[in-house]
Amino acid sequence: MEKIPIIKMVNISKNFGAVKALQDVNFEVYPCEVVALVGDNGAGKSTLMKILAGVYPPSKGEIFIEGEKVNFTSPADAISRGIQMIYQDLAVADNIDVAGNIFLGRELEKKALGGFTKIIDKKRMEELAWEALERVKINIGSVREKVENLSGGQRQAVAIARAISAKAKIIIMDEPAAALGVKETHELLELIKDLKEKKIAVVYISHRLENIFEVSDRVIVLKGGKRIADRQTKDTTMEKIRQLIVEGV
Amino acid sequence: MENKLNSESFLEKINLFGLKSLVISGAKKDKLKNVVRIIVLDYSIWIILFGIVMILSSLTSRFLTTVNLMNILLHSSILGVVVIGESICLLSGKFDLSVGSTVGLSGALAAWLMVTGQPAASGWALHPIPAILIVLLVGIGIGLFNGFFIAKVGMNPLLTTLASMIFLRGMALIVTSGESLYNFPPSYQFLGGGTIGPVPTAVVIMLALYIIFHFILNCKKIGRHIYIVGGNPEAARACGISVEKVVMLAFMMSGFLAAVGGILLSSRLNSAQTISGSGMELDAIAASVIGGISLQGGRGILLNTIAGVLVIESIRTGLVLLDVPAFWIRCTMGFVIFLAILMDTLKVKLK
Repeated sequence: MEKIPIIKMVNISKNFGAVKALQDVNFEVYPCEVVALVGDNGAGKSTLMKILAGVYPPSKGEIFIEGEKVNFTSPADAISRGIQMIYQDLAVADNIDVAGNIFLGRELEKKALGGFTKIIDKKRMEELAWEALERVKINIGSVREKVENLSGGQRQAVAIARAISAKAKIIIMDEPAAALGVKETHELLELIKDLKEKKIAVVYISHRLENIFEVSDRVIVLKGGKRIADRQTKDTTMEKIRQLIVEGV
Repeated sequence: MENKLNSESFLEKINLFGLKSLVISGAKKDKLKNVVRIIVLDYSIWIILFGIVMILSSLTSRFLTTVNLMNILLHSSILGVVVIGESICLLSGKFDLSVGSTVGLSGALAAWLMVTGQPAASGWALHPIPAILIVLLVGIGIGLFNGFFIAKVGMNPLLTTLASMIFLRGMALIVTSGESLYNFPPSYQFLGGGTIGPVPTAVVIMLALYIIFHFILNCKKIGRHIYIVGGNPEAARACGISVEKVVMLAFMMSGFLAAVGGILLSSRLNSAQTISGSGMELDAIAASVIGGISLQGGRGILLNTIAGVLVIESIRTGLVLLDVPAFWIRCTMGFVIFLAILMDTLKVKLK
């Protein structure tokens, strides 16, 4: 028996008006796998992942999570099923502190005024935020620091810590290294390897093939909204993948 | 066991993202910077208010008197209540231009329901409690209407609430047949005109509402979500927050508070005039911005808008006491609003 994929997307199509962004695309991720999703600009990588994250509904097709069919109508649905997407812009709120960003949209509450009402449990959120940051091995001066005062790498760390602390089964990263320097990129790749050990699957969208070949187990190539290749990373080369992206063969 | 391994590799990789040195060298500077930032940026408005009071007191001996200060407080209480709602809208990244007309309509509606012996009234002579409840519900309904079309349909908040502003002013005229209604029941008059001990009831109500909404904004989930939606609606949506719901709730709070303002104003004047509250929307936005609520959304401390309100009312009253002609007072208020928005913009640029 084959392993059950943690994510299985079947015959996904997406039209934006007359534009066919995706046509009958299949996509699957197995447990503890790092899948790289590559393709030229406009190939449909981000659209496919935004469908998985509940941002867009697909025009056609089905999504299965651990074998169970799901219908996402909002990002909240996908989050509740353990799917976390880290967007290119990181989706952090600059005006909120680090702890608040790690718990964005799922703030912890406690009873107050003698059980009369519930209030945000800032202290507990700060404690757990520290833990989450430690798990991604990030040191940020204070979890009360507003995110606008952080560097690019630190902001990235906050986004990843959020995904991990939300008990993600799978983390989708859209061009995560785009805003990072050489050293920070290297550290990010180490972190992805670490996530794999923590039994979290990763989908890594990127143009940087050298990064992809360092961390991924499998490479899926999209071109013009279609899936044109699915290769085990160890069985292929950067040159072949580059050729697939550019020429489609 | 695994934990131990993890913490070891944690020590090894503590320098991940090159943060360690940054954090250590930055810590001391940050602390000092934070203290300065908190005083200068976050609470500077109270210093400015103090300065304005000092200047006006030195210009006229009539300013720093109990009667005048009480008068300023009483004026401030009505604007202050409206400012709470406007600030909440601004924090959520939107605008509400309809609050002034809501104030007018609320007073008119309250009068129409309660007042007796005047042909323009309904003649129902409703008890103040049901009348107030109806007025508050209408206020919430106005907010729901604005919020629905802005958040769900995606209409421009400025123009949508501008249309509501015109529509609601017309409604106030319809309700009262264009006449002024007066002579409310005594228990209703107590709200805006009475005192609790030495303190005007309206001031007590304003302070209570400030405390309640400060608590909601800072301790409740919905308050946190208002800040998040105002700061980055895309991030809010990506994290599963219903941006539409949050914006609608913000407008409903604004409508509710404008209705409270309308009740207090009509009660204090003991009459409902069709022009009551006109222009209050701009005073409310100005007081919010002077109090440090950013027009970009998501930034600002509600309690500071009390100082914003006091600044506006002090300048207005001070100029009257200085016998400045009414037209010039108008110009000055416009200039003050301009300065507030300029400051807000420069603050964003500085960051």
